[in-house]
Amino acid sequence: MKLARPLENLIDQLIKLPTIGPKTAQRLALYILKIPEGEARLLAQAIIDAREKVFPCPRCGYLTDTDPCMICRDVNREKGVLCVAEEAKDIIAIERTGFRGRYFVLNKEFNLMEDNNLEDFNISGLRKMLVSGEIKELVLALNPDIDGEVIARYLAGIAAEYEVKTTRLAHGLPVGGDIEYADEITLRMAIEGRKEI
Amino acid sequence: MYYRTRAIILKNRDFKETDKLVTIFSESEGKVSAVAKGIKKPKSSLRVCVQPFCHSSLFLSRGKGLDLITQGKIIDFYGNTRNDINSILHVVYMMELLDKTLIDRVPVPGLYGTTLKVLAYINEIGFNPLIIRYFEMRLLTILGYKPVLNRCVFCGQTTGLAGFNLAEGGIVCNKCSPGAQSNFPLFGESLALARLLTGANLRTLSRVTASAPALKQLEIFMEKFLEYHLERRFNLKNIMRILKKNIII
Ligand SMILES: [Zn+2]
Ligand SMILES: [Zn+2]
Repeated sequence: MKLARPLENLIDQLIKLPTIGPKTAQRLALYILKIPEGEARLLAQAIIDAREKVFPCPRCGYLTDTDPCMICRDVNREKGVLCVAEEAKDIIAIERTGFRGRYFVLNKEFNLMEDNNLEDFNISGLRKMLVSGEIKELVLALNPDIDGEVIARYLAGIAAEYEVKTTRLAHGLPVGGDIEYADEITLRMAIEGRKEI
Repeated sequence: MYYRTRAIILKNRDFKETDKLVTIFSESEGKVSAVAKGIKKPKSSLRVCVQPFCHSSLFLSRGKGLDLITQGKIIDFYGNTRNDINSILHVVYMMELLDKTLIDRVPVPGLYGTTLKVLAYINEIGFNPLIIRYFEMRLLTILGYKPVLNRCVFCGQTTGLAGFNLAEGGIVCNKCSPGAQSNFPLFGESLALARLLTGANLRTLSRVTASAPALKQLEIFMEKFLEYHLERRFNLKNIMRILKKNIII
């Protein structure tokens, strides 16, 4: 079936987005054709604005349109607790929990087996925060896999240089999950991380 | 076409939104790259079977391009190993060695068996540097680079030795190799340990006590020898050096 050129072009762009397959891309494109022109313009403008105005905060690496970001400027945040995450999307998830400390985002993927190097992490910002003496605890919110484990050891070593305590998020069972269906590794970690009640 | 195989998971990396590209050392097929679909979703039962250095029983389908892992069951996930960062790093280093030396779709049953034995040893008894050296030596031997360690590689002399010549793959004597500076200094205790590695089994090795300097020298020797023949450098070696510098392990 032959499609109008501009429609085909829109589908080609949408299909590049994560989780969007050919069918979904076509559905979205046809939907965009049906909405009022003003709304379509808003959508296009929102994409351009976000691209032009949002950047990683020079202090903490979180996505922001101000320098420093809202979190870094917030005086009501606990200054002593600094949470390190791999990506900004992890911070969005942690923010929803009501965590009130500050953040540092590594903004770099790390895979032990892909010839990545620990020294490629740009952690001069982290060192700056640690050297200030304000930080009392470094909370590592890293993925529960081997790569996360290795980054954690590396960062804990750096925190120790500044005599800052390091903690890691607990591994455990998903809330609402069935113990019966938990995989062995998760269950084992949950047993090791058990708490007195 | 479907096939079932036991496999050691060498590595995995992100591949599309919720999929991973997994490199396995299959018992029957050798090194294979296969896609595990949807494993970043929390309910995926495959996820745990494709973690690095798991020993899993996998069910795969062979397609036009990459194979697809459709089902899996863990045989051993080496839980004790995963609790010790030093063991983790060394076992991942073994996976890197395998990944960088195995050829796609060429089964190597001897090496498969050795890898399982070493994984089980570290999990049950704990990390021991000599066991990692044993693995390196077995790998080199199976690949056809077994070093000559008991006599001069040129004349067969067993005395007046002048170290190890990487290019010749063996010990050389003073007469055959006057320019001894280019040889690796493999003498005394570290040479005895290297000889032991080529013959002894895991149980014997676990009873051997060696001095720290000799173990260090042996480690450097094996690294140089591996790099020379495989023409590769090993990322995990580098990472271990960085972590050691930070006095973490
Ligand atoms: Zn910030
Ligand atoms: Zn000779």
